[in-house]
Amino acid sequence: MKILIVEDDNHTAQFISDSFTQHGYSAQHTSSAEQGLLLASTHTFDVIIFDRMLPNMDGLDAVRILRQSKVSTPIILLTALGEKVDRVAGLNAGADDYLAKPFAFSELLARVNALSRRPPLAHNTITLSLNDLKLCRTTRTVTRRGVTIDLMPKEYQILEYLMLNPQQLVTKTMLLEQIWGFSFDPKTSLVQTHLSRLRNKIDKPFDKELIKTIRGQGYLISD
Amino acid sequence: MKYPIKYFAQLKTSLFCWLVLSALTLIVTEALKLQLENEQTAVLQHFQDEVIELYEEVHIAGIMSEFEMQTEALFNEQQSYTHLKEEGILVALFSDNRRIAGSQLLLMSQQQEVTPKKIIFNDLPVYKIEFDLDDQYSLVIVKTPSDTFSTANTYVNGAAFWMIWLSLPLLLSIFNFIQFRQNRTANSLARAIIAITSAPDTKRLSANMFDKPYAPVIHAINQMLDDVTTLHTNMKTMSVGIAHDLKTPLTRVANRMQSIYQDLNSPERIASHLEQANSDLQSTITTFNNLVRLNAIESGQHKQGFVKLDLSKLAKELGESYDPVFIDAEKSLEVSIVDNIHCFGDVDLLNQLISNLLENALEYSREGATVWLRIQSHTNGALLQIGDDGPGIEKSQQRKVFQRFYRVDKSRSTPGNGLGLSIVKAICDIHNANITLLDEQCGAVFNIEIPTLVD
Repeated sequence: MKILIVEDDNHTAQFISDSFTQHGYSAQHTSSAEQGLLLASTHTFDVIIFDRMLPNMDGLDAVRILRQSKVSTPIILLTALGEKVDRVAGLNAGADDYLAKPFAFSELLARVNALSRRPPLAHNTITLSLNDLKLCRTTRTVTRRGVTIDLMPKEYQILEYLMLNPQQLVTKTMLLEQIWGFSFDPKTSLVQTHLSRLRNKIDKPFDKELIKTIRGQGYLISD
Repeated sequence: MKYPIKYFAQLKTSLFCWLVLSALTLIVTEALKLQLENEQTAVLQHFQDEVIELYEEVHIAGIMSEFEMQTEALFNEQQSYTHLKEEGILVALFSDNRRIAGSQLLLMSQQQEVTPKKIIFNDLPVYKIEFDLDDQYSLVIVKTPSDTFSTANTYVNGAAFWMIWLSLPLLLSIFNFIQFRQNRTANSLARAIIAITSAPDTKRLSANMFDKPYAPVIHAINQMLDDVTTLHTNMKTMSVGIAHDLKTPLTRVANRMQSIYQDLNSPERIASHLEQANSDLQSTITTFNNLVRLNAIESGQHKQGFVKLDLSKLAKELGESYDPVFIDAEKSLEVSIVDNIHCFGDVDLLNQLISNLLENALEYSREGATVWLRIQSHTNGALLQIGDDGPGIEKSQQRKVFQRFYRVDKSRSTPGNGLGLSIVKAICDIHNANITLLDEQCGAVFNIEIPTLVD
């Protein structure tokens, strides 16, 4: 998978690009916005990572220019401004995700994966299934091995989100943003509590564990 | 910095005032002169009446002797001028329009003129009156103005002249004096303010040092300094708070680094150290994120994203989300919310407001405590209450809980950064909501009054 990194801070860029290389991705880095725009519109990338604040250009404008010139590659904006207002502005400009600095690389990786491997029509699929677990999005029913499992609304939403991104790391921040709409991090174990209840219902009564915890990073669902 | 005094700074103003003053003086002078003339005319009218009365008593002979006239001896030109100069009066007597006595120079007017009339007679300003004594005799009299009137006229003219020419330098000096005093006060005020900037927390301006009109300015400056001091003190508390909150986790990270050196041969131990170090660094990042967020909230930037929202629904969902968290902590959350309460605000911030208060209750309430989340409508808004049944916050500390980095736990050993309630307060402020910590309760009970929208 090819990733373009447009970031003026060389340390951050090095860190991101080395980490991607370690994970078997091919990363190309440029520190100038103009160069970034040129590369993005002339080469094919799977994901573009754009810094929000570049010396000569606002990342938002760069995203707008790319979208206007019909470049539809998924874009993640990186920013030191983690506020929700900025987040909304970034998404409105045409970015697909928004990540506040400083971030853990696993967080960025999870978001890159969520964007690049998202099956094109997954969000329109009515029935999601993984191994013997089935989730019907119209009736909001969940069954495993034919047994109906009663879930609370938040538990259902978490499971749905995990199943839309199978085999992929989903971080705590991603869940807070997607399920609760929080742009802040609650002190308590809100996410952990709901996850553990979900697992008690989905996994515990059965022999095979589907939801896995990646320590310090997040969760993923796989068979 | 000293502002140079400009001596003719007020030249324009002075000139303008001088022009206005001169014009006024001229108008007043003219009015006075007109008044004097009217009085002179009245005097002459009176004189004419006296002459007619005299004629009725002593007839033509009496009149002749009164005015030292002789028939057959008419004054020639020279005699007439001399007489006018010496006696101030010149008379001619006519009988059936024929001159019978007096000056040769005086003529009867062709038409009956309104008299007395001011004329110039041999370069002398004089008044001419002519009137009939009876059907036969007529008199023409030329009279110089009386001394009193001439003197008065001269005085008026003189006064106007001096007034106009003396007022210019006078005005210039007055205006420049005022300017000078203003400059002096401004300069001393500037010096006093500069002197204070070195110690804005302790020094204040003294109202006695300046003129009375400056008292409100002095007061305002002192008020501003008080506010600066408050901010300054807050900043100090904050920096101490930040320093402390950063020092602890950073020290721990440093220690972990040391341990990694010692455990270089054991990958598992290194992994465990790294995990610990990472979690400590995360806590410092959280502190910074909260600070940035607090400042962003206070700047009011979220106001542009305010929408009409269902507060009841939002709180209910949060209640549902937190219920399992409370159960796992072996505490209970009791939710009682009136439906359909709408307000104008930011969803994310209101979520954080309620979450922060619920989490505080979760963290600081006693074992097995009951925590409640209630919303009820209220006269002009909604009343949101989040409380627990113990142990509560000590009375002496209650006032300080909303301060930044204030921790009830002085040792700062429990996790947290003392920003949670500051954020809560800031969120309330931008929503025009009023938050109070109720006293005389067995636990910590927060009441928030939020303005609502009527459907």
